[in-house]
Amino acid sequence: MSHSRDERRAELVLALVALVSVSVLGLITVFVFKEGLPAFREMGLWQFITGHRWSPSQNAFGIFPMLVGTFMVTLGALAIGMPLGLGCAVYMSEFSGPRSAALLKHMVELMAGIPSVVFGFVGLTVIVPFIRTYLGGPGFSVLASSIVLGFMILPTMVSVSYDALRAVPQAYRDNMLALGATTWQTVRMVVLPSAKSGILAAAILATGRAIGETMAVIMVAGNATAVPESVLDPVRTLTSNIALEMGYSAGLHRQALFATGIVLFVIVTLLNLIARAAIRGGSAK
Amino acid sequence: MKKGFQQLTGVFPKPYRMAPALLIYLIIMVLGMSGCSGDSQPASSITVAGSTSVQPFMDLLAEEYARLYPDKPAVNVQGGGSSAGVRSVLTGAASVGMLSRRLTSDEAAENLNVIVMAQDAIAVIVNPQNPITDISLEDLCKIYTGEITDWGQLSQVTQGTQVSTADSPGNQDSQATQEPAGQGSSEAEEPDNAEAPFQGRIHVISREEGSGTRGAFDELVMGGQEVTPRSIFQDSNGAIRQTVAQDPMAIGYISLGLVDDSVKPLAISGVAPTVENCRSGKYMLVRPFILVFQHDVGPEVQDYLDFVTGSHSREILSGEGLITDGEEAAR
Repeated sequence: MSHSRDERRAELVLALVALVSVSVLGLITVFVFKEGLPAFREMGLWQFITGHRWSPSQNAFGIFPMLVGTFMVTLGALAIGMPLGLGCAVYMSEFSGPRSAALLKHMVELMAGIPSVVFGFVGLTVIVPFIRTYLGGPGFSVLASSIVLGFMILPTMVSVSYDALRAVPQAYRDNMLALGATTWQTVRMVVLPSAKSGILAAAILATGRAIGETMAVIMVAGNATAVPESVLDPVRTLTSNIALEMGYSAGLHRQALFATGIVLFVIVTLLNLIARAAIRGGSAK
Repeated sequence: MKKGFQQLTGVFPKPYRMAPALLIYLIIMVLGMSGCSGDSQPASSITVAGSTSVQPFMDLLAEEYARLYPDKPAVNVQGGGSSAGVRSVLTGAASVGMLSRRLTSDEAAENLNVIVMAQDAIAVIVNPQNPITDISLEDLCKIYTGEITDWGQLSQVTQGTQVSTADSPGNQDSQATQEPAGQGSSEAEEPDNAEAPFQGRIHVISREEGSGTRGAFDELVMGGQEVTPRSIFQDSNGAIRQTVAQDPMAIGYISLGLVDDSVKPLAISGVAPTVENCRSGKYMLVRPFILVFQHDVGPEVQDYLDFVTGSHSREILSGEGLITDGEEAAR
């Protein structure tokens, strides 16, 4: 009797918790769209996305430079973070002993816990002056943000692709080795192809992380509103644009920032859908 | 992870099982929303809102007020920007609004009470390695619009002495050959490097759109022209100071009170940014910190305003680098 009452009560509470968690997403979506859609109506979606000029005091709202900026910075981060992360995961999963794998895993997890402002601060005091001194330009640049973000996405990249590699059945490896293949050959010909979809999912999750990161990027990107001409030019991303100006904005400026949020929301949602499709496609095979 | 999804979806096909949870949830939501719209600030606190440039100074005063008069109402200081400060006074969301710029004509038409709390100067700063000590307002504007992009392009007035000493020993011919040679082989020029005109791409550093310092800079220097989108935008005085301190090619602007040895403040057309020059009105990049409030404020708010304009607060503010005396003293 009391057993089943407990059961019901637990279910009630947990269902409530589940509803609250999900409804936060709903509330955010409704709020962002409600605040941002008037901006699209005011200046037109196409004008907003392809406009080159962002100057709120002159009522010019074009986020094209920020779209390009987000794209460049994210691509740069992946170019740095993916090989490093995948290499680390392959070493942990296939080459190192269980002890050092566990140690590496702990350290990578520790890295995930470092606040983004710390990454930004290191970038500001080490990477930005380094680029300024040895490569030229003001230092605040696409390159600086890509390097900082590349390291920030490492934990996601390593842990998700490590799990994907571990999920490859041991029998595959054993068979390869029994055929006389070396470990590297096994990795290259069997393990990596089998874990392909998981690694792809890792890359897409890492992309989402890179697109969404704000604080560290604001500190090292320079936040210029022009389309960068080289990787040494300063750049502004969509998230930085919102975070930089939200504190003061009012009226149409505020709506334009929420509209920037909508664009970001759509991009990240699409990425998530692709990631899920990639995972599903992988497990179906 | 996939298993987790399946367990979760296992709950959903039975909607009736969720009904009680849904009901409680809806009740909480409705109660929560009515709570939001219902009661406002308790009467025992004063809300001050507006410019984020004034905010740190107002925070100091509010802390001091709470320390000296613990039994008086607490002062709650919020940001939001100068425009938001005026708006919140008009809507009654705040008792006092803070501005780091003059009132617009629309705002002035609202007939609010206005107090100038202090004056703050904006200093234009460069790296200490930069030989330039003086800049005209015109050149400054051109740097920020992107018309001047190289330190060598600055009008000869600022670099005149260096150029003439470098060139005077030679005749016209050597002067003509010196320029391309200077760019080609820097080793040959090493000995008189210090005397060569300062050159290199200017790294323009500005505040983000909407900041009070940026607003004042736009008004006092730019005169309606746009800051180049190639500028670097930093979101605080401190970040600009640090960047300029590290980068020999940088130029930026910050509140005068925050200038230290790591950067070099420039004179504007020969007038150094000193407190004396601001007081006498010679230095032009000065902006007021203004408080606005309704005519019928209660005694608690009036008491706080008296504290803010009192001599003790003035001492605190001038200790923080603001200029606190002027015509306001007569009030």
